[in-house]
Amino acid sequence: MDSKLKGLIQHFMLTTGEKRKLSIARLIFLVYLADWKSSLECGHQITDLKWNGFMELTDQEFSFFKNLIETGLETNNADALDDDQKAIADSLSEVALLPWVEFEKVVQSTYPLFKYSDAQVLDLPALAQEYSRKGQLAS
Amino acid sequence: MREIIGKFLRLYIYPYISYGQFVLFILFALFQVFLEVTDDIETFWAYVIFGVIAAIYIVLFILQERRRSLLKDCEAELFTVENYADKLNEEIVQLENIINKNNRNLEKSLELFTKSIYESLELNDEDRITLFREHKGKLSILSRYSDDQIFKAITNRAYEMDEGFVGIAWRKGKCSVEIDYAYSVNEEGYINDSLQKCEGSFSEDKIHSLTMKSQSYFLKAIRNRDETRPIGMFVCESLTPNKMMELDKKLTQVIEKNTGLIRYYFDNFIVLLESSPEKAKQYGL
Repeated sequence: MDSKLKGLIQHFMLTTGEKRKLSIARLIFLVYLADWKSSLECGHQITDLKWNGFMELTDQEFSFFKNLIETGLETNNADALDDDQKAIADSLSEVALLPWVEFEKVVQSTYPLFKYSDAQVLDLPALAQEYSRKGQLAS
Repeated sequence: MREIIGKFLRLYIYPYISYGQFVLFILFALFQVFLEVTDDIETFWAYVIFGVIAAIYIVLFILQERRRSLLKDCEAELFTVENYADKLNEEIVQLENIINKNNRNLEKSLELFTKSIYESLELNDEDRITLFREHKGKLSILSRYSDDQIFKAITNRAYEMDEGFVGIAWRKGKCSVEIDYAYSVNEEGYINDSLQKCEGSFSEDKIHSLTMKSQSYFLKAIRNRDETRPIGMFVCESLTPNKMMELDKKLTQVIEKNTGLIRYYFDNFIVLLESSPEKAKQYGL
């Protein structure tokens, strides 16, 4: 797994994880939100994960998240993220603490999942461009 | 009464016991000094004052012991509550994972269900199926399928219930419409015919903004289990003229056969129905 993903997870575990215990599902969604926000603001994802409409990860990726939740990170990855990426992760702290149903509504309301909820592949940077081009959703 | 006294003691007496004891101690010492330097007071009154001070001191001591015991109980209770909270947190985490997994499976199942109807009707990339659910006074898209990815994409989830052909079908239970002109060939004819057939319940601008300018529509309201009121809508539409007219009987059969399943999906998708781009925008997403 790439160091950015480790850095992002460590960041969430240290910040949000102190206030509430993170479930795997919540952590996966938080990483997705960080990737989406980074795509909107910087034009690229933070991690190398390939997202789809059902938020499914490969078995290997899922095990990676699961192990991290259960055992924590062995090494310090705090420097893996640059300042902008840390700021993006920090900006999600309010969303991260929402009750589950509200949290899921916010995730499902993001443009990629709202519009392409069943897509096999979500190209977040391309969708961010599409979203910015449209400015607002037309009916 | 006992509760009131208990509350009074907790709020106004217990916290100040130590100060009270300290003040009494000082008074006691001052009184002793006073007795040393003066002969003005009678022995009887000296004993009385000593007795009163000693009695108050004893009462305060008892109260302090009581307070200590209460604190001990509270600490034990707090420890139990903290343990309980930890266990609840663990359960919440597990439940979040389970709910998430179930929701994703349900979404997939709905997607497959809509697709299977689409395929059973042998529809193609000029056709589209949409399932709407009544939610908070509007009709919200629950599921949509088309082989054409542009037609399939959901751009606006919630629609007014009295607008367009959906509004007519909502009122009447069913609605089939054939537009005489193709938008790509005769834009004006398409708009005018649509406006006339939707009984003026849709504006020209809204028709222009539709992603799919269909020529053939089939709309059927899905009623609740008691069959007393509509709770959702099944819409099948096509760019191909008269296609839904030809499929009318088959469509009716498919819906009748699957109404139970559709109602089941209607009951289980609140999160999807309440998602909106505005909600994500609130958090800068």
